[in-house]
Amino acid sequence: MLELALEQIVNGLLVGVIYTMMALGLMVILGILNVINMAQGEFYMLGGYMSFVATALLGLDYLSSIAFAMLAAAAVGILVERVAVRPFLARPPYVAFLSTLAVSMILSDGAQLIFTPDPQNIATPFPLNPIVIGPIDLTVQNIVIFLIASTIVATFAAFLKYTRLGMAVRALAKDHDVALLMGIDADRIHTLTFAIGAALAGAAGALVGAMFGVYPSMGELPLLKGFSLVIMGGLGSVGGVLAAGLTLGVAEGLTAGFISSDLTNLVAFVLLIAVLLLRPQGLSGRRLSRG
Amino acid sequence: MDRRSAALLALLAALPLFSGSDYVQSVIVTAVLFAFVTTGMNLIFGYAGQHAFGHPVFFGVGAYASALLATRAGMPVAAAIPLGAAAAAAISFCIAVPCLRLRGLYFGMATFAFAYIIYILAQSWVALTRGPMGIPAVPPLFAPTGASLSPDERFYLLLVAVLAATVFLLDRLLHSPTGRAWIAIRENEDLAASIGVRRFLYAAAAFVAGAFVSALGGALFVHYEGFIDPTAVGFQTIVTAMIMMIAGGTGSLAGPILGAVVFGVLSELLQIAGEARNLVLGGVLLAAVAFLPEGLVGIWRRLRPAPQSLPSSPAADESLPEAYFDPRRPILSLEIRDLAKSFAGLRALEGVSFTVEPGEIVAVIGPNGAGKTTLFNLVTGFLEPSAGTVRLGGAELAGLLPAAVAARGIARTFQVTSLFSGLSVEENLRTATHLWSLRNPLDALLRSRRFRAREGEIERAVEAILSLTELSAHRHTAARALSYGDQRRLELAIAIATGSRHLLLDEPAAGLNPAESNRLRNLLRGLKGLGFTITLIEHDMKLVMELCDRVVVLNYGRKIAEGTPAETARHPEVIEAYLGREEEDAPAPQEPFPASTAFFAEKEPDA
Repeated sequence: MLELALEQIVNGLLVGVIYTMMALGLMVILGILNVINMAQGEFYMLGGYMSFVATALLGLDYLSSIAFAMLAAAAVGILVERVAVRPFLARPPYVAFLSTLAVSMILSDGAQLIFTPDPQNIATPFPLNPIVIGPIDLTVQNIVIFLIASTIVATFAAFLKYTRLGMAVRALAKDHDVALLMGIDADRIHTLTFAIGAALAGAAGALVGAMFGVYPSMGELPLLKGFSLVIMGGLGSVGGVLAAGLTLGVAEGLTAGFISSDLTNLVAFVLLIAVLLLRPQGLSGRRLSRG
Repeated sequence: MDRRSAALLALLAALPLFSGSDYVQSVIVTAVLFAFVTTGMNLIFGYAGQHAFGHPVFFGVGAYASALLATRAGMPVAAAIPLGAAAAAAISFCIAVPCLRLRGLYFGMATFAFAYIIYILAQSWVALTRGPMGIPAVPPLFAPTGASLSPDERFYLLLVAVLAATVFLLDRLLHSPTGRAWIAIRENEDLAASIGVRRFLYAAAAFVAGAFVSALGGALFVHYEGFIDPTAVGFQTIVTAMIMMIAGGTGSLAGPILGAVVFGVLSELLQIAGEARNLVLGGVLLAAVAFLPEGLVGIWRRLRPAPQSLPSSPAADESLPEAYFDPRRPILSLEIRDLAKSFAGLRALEGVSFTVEPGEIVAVIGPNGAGKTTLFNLVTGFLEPSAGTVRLGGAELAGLLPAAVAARGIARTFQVTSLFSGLSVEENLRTATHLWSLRNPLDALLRSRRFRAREGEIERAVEAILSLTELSAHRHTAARALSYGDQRRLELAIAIATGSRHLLLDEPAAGLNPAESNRLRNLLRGLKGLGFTITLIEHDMKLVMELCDRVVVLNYGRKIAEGTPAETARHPEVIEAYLGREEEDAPAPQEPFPASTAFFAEKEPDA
């Protein structure tokens, strides 16, 4: 009983860090461009496939393939920003939602046509036999993936907090107009934001792909869960999203272990409803209006 | 009903006459069914302006509900359809309540997440929905009889008739206080609250009414198709409906129907596209948002000439109608006691007390950042006080939401011009009469005698206020196209139209030239004569001196003086606040407020 719980908690933390990567990408794009990037799930899927292509066809090792996946996702992110986001930024905010949704549909069907709907596996050099630490079985692969994911999240947080560019990004998220007056080049930051957001998703896809395989629709659920985390995490705080992400991962693990694995995908939304109902101000208390 | 919708519906009714094949007929039926979804979603998305991306899911919810009622509960189909739609509407209410705590895109994301929950439930609650296998053998509405019309033909005519009735009723609702309130929250949420529109109530109403219309379509669909599976609540159904609505054009009744009919062929195209279905759908969506910004009806709108502004007809009676003077909102004194507000440790306002008696004009003045706008926000419910009370005739206002404060009889304007900028001047005023209009939707749907009478009084009031504020000539001009001075007068006119006779005006003269400023002074004097009580924040000292009965001076969040304009002008602390200490090198003049100039030209970026 306890062993199962511990096992599920550890697995949940691993999954949670990866959800956090998804949510942080969405959050930074939402915060700066006021765009819900519906193509984020496809950046994730793309990361998975690029890692697969790099290892299976280009002969790269798995670790380099993650970097390759991030770069490829970032490149596609920049392209999407130019083609499907920037032309619509002056229109009402739902327009970019629809245009990125369109991109998402095109990318996922494109992947299906190229790679077929069947799952592909990413080969990793890590032994799959478990290491037993007390009551918990861990694979080397999972440990490595956890460490990589944590490093990426920490690097992202440090970038936002400590670099000049990160400061410009935060300034733009805080007050778009004033930031422009301070001489921040919004177009450049928008491009950068999409590149970073896509790279985060791409890395997440490459990491998850190594564990569970890659397939064209793999990004759908992480996208929706990422949304829920952005709302739950308090709209704009890295720490909040991380806390929400880890909570979600653990809650899903425990649900799968003790209730039913059919229900794991509902956990995110149940948590979301709970947060919405228990925090009456909504979590967006930034507006003047209380109407 | 407007001409476009009527023409469209007549066309739809006649369509099957020209089509021989069953295939073409089924394409047309599907298109008309989608018209219910797009019409329903348009209420919350196009009219109330809330981005409910997941809303089309209620089509499938209605379909499931009606199918279950007919197959499991053995209910007659004719009863299962409306009941199924009602059940879906009830579910939509449960979803609207948590989602509406969020705003803008976050609200949209939450509705999308809920649509996904419904999809998962349809897939995995096998005991109820039979999961991916779906529910087969759903009974049809019409059994074959010997009559001349086939069941499909009868079904189609019923479908068009129900759609026509829906559009007819919605048209009545939209031209009533309910529809005006929806558009108000779309156009300007803060201003809507200040004229007494409760966002939550009206947004939820649009969400649920829209879900009912959508679900009605779904319920009709399931008895036509005879089968339902989770794709009805799936992603492609939602996106198809969204494309149809956007491409047709939101915010008009005809647009979404036109979109459903024109893009109804989409679902057929998708059959052909097979594997690349989403690729095609995505491409069409991208093209629609890029090339049809106002939708198909936008093309129609562009071809039609804009209405001419007619010279104002000399109205027989330009006095305000009786209904305007709501006896439930008598003019009472406004008492502010020890009011305080801190923002994360910063004390914006501290222990401010004063009273505004009925019929007075009181000015609140003070240097930039003194807390004047904060004071207004506290009184009108846009901010919650940290301490202190605000009473109107003894009843506590502090802690009420802005719309509730407005309902007690206080109207406000904003420092930065705030209008329903997409609406005409006339529409702005009509919308602002919300609080004293007859809001019961049943009266609007039936066009009851008392409803018509009240709407007539609203028209008279709009006329009277237009002429009072000298805006009659611009009645058909969009608010955003007015000159700055006219916009500021329109703001005041909106406040007057609410029926509140306690007005809080935030820098009404800011940015006005001397002629406009004079006009404003005369207008405010006129309002005083009509029995209005006015509190205003103002930097134009000439206006304050000439107009106000009393002046309250704030500095650094505290009240430093109160009295007649002449008294406060001589008050040493006031002189110090505006001009600095006497010891400093500039000699203090006798009179701190030069009689002829606006003291502060620039706007105040308030706390």
